Amino acid sequence: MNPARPHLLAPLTMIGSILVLGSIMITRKPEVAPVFGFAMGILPIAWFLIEKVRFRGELDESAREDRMMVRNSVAAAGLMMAVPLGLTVLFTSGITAITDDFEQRAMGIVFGMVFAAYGNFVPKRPVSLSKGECSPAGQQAFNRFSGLMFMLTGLAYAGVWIFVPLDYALPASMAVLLTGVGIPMLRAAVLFLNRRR
Amino acid sequence: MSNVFKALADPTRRRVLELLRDRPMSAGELSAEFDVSKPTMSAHFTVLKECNLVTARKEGKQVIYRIKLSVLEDALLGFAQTFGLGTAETRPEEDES
Repeated sequence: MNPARPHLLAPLTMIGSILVLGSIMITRKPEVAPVFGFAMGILPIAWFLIEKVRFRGELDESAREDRMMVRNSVAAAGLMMAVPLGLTVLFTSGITAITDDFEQRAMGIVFGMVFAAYGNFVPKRPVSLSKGECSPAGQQAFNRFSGLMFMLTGLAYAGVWIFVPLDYALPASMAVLLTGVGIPMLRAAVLFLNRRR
Repeated sequence: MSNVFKALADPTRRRVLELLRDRPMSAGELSAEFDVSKPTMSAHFTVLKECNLVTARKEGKQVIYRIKLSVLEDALLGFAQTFGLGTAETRPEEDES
């Protein structure tokens, strides 16, 4: 496999979807064409700049890993843009079952799943071998803990938007998110304070 | 994903991953934990690297291995270890067939 071309299918598929859906919406609602045009252009332009400026000429293992992460992030961002665009296209096509509540729940579920997927890959980041303030073993353990917390948080977030009544879903999902992110931050603070002693 | 299952099916490779869970280790330190030849251990390391479960970095004269398990792969490792999947040790060459 060409080391400079890993994981192109997912981000290209997402960007292609956004372009198609955005084009449909521009023809149906020309009065908001600038908004859809911005949505269609921002992600591919940002990706192009990162690939060409940040990674220009870098083909080593570490740059390849970083490229993979960027491309996965572009795919995730594309998914989170394509879902509401797709639902809007369906609604303007006459499928009235796509209500605002449905769209809100769908976005919550997608965000939760993306967050869970991100958490799954947190421990994959290699730890530094340099003798810094935290040992590599400590970094590994913390990455594992954080990844597991983020993954469970993402799944719980998606679960809230599936099962909780809509009037309570937003505050409940925020509580889940703050707890899931706050616990690793608290652990990091405790580790930092204990290290200083 | 099927390569990850194959990698975790071998108890020697699972033991390597368990050791690396505690801390990064050199190839020599890892080989000392097992009663197999260095070429065999090297082949196991190659399988793990190809499955993106470990990363190797040269530090001076040593090669240091670090673990790279996602949350799901870690759970799979625990599952395989608990239920003793692939208890018969395989030679790394057999995995390539």
